[in-house]
Amino acid sequence: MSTGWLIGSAVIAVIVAPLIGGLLRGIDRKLTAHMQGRIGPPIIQPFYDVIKLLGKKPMVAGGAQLVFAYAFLALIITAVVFFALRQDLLVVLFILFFGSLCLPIGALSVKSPYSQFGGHRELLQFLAYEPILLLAAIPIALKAGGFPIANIFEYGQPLLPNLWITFIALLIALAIVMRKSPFDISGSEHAHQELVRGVITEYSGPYLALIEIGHWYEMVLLLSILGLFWVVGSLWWLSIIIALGSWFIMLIVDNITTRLTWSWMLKFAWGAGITLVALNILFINLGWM
Amino acid sequence: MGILSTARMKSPWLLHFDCGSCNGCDIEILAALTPLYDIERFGIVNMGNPKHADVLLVTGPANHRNYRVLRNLYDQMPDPKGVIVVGTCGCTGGVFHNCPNVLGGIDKVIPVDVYVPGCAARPEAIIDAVVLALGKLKAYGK
Amino acid sequence: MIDSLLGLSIFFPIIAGFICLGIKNHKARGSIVFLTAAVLIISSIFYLRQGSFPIEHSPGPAGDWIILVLNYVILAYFLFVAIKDFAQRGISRHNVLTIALTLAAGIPLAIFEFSQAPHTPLEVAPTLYVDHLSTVMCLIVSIIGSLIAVYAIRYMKDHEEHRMHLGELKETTQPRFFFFMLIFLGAMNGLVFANNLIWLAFFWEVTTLACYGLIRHDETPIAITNAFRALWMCLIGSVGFSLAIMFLWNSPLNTISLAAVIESGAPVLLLPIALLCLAGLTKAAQVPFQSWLLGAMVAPTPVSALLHSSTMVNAGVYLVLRIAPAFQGTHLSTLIAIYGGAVFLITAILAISQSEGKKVLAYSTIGNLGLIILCAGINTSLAIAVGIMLLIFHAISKGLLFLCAGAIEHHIWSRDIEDMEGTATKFPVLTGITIAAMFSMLVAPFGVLITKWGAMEAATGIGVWSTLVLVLLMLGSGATTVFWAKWIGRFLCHSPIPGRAKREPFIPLYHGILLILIGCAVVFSILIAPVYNGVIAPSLTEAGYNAASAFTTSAWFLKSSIGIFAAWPIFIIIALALLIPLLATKAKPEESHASYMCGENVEIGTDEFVAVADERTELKTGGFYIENMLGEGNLNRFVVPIGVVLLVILFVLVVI
Repeated sequence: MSTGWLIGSAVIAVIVAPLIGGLLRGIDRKLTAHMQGRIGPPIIQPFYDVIKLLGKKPMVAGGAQLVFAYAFLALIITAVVFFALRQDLLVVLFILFFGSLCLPIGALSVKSPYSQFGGHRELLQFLAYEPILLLAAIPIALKAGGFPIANIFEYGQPLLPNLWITFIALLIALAIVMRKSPFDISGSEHAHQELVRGVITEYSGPYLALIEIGHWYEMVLLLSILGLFWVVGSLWWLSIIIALGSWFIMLIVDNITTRLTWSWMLKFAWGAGITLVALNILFINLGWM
Repeated sequence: MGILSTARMKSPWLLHFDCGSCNGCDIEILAALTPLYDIERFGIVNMGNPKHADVLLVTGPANHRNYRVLRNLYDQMPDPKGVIVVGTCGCTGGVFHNCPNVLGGIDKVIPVDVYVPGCAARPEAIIDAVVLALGKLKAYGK
Repeated sequence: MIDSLLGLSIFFPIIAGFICLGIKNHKARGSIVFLTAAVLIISSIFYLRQGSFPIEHSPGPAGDWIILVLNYVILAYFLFVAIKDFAQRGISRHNVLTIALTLAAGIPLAIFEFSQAPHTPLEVAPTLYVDHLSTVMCLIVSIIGSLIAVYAIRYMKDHEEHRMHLGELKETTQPRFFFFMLIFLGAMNGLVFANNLIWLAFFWEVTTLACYGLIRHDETPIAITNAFRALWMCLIGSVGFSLAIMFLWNSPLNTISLAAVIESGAPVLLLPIALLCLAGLTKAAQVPFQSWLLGAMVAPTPVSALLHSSTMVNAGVYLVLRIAPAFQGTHLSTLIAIYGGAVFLITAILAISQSEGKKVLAYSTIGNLGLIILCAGINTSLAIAVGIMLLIFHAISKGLLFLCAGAIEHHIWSRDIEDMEGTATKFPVLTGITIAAMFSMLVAPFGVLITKWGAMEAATGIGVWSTLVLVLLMLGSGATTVFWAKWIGRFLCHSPIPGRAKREPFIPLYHGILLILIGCAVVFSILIAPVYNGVIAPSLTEAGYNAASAFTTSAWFLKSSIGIFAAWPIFIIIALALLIPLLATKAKPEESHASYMCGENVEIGTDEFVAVADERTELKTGGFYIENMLGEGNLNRFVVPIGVVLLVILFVLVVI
């Protein structure tokens, strides 16, 4: 793809990703409500929430909080831009992780009991999903012949038939990133409260809005990574089905499970998640996949 | 601006504080969150955190011990905010009016926007009260 | 020209060290250290302008005689201190092992030098060998080492004043401290340029001597014990050297020139190569030898910065990187890669449980050295390039971090992370530099992250065992992030203050040095492509690798065959993302509010809340250390056996 197209797609990604993210959150709440026998809010409710938050009077419990709230959003947007520019997948992930780290560091920078707890639990959550995401880049690179996302397009073949084991592991990582039960251990969405609001307890008003928008970008980026598994070929529209399908599976899992402990989360993520991806890498190296 | 006041009206987040009530009104408030009344369809979410809340829902009378906590929570809510008092005890002191440790209704401690009488107040009345409070939020800044 | 440069790098610091031993005046001694620092830095830069590499230099038989005699003098000194300790404190594992290992190192060497060698001393051409890799090490030692020595001038003054104030110290011991430090710098330079294995072993032992003397400096019982532990563990390496020299001489290759050994790479040489690797691994405090490095943290912080993060332990991994071409493509190489990955993961997990700051830094050091060894084990040109890069960037960042930890320790007089809570408001400049240094170990676009990226890409697609290597690498990467982020959070944790924190007074020998080092970290990370082209790519070519199949650089991006790292655009974007909010936002005073404590806050500005019976209670926050699961007490009984088993498998593989 020519540079002009790439830059154009990056600009579109930055503008459209939060809109899609917010809409998905809204549909999430609607579907969850219906699964629970309720009606639920309108699907554009997250946008109302964010606009209302932006209009609140700012309230800060520590100067570093501001810096990290802005940095969280800015870095995740950077990761989205690099993804749209089809850069090296590992680099995209590292920038994403830097952004994700800003949230717990900002929470830890406030001397508040709930914020401290939430920040530490967020770090443990990070410890659970980060290795899975990083390791999942390896089989993708082995198949596509390189880490740049552009290689996946050049490879020309869908990845899912050979990498479905990795895909399952990525679903585990997606559940943790989206903070869905049973992994909603550190400050999750509205209906899930743990230790007041966990990692986002001390963020309020406009800064909470920034974090919310950052979460939308993060979710869209993760779903796009999942969509990479069938983004080429004549059935390229399957990538959207795969991404949305994974998202829907997360909703169902959220509604049928309950929150578990952080030590279980670590053991499960490292046990099941890492083992699955490692098996996939092993099979590719042995030539079986 | 139009969109900001619309957003404020469409997304009121609650903080629910029991200030010495018998829990009767609290049960009715929590009932409003259940699928039967489902106030989430109006965008209302029960946040546990004053820093995230727009509307403070208080039950029970103010007394010498808890007025400080109430004041503290009210101060930790960012503007624009509204206060709804649910139940007769919060409005005037109710059956506990004139007791030695009771200061009276909640309005002795913080400014109240909407009073919901009743013992216990009905969920429909609580929902009506929140809608009234939304008007105040919408008019903030004008 | 080259002989004067070599003389300045190796012998000037040694002479200056001896001079310092006799000077009692603080300012005069400080000027000698400054002068040495200047000489070292300037001479090391001049190496880069020497035209075509490699350059060879042999000082002649006089030099060989001096080295031979001094080697036995040092070994005799080790025996002497061990026997003296045995007389003073009774029999212990440490002095027995020291005596045994000194004899085990000295006797084979003596047998070789006096009966097996054709003439004594054995002359090897060339004795000293200057190429890009050794120049890189010389630059690291000279520049970073000198900065640390200059920092130590002020640090030791404060350290001794504090100890005298506490009644622990009667008169100054700084002459001895700077003696060891300066001879160490000279010995490191000698080590990296040595080609004759006897010279290499000699300089190796001088560094062990300096390590012992510096750890022991405070002369507390625990310092003496830990100094002996470091001594005997490093002596294992010297034993390895002596045996390797004997094996190499008696092998078909019949040489003890390191360059000749590396170029040949014949399988018959794998046992001496493994012995040399063992020397490197003990010096780099890899599992199961990590306890000496952790114990060495009782020493004053400049010692930790110089010896135990940026230079001496680097000598260990430098040796492994240098002899990597000799075991390329063997099972030994694969096992070394797995071993490095295991060390990386184990130390990362153990670091999460440590609450003493310097121990966390020590574990992180061992882990990153394990990562360099992993790269040496993968042994492709990309991997070796990444290994050399990590050598450079880790030395800068970790040396800086130890210096920061030392400066913080001298402001709050504690080494515990829990006592560092809220230093961001008390010492904003120092804390800011420390947090920046931690970010430089952790995130894009800094050099250490570039090397993590590179190591992951290098480990991909090298065969079935890459699966295990990659799993260890990714898990370790996650764990390292956790303990750094936790520590950064502790620095920043404070209750709201109005406005910005007041800057603390600027101390040139503390803050100045730290600013220079963080500047280096930033500049070299942005300029990674020219750094690669300037020193790393030539090192690869000289070692026989194909530099083009490692990285190519275009527009100052780093491109490998399977990945691309756009160094400076990432840097600019991330700098903007962090610096703009940092400089442009400021919480207005009326926006500052207390944290949420269920409404029981006393008032803003205090951390107190109202607890039982209306009592004002102070809020205390702390970090997660998960000691019962991840602590040394729980894990060490697995860690040490795992290390021993891996090393045993290593030697078994070699012998088969």
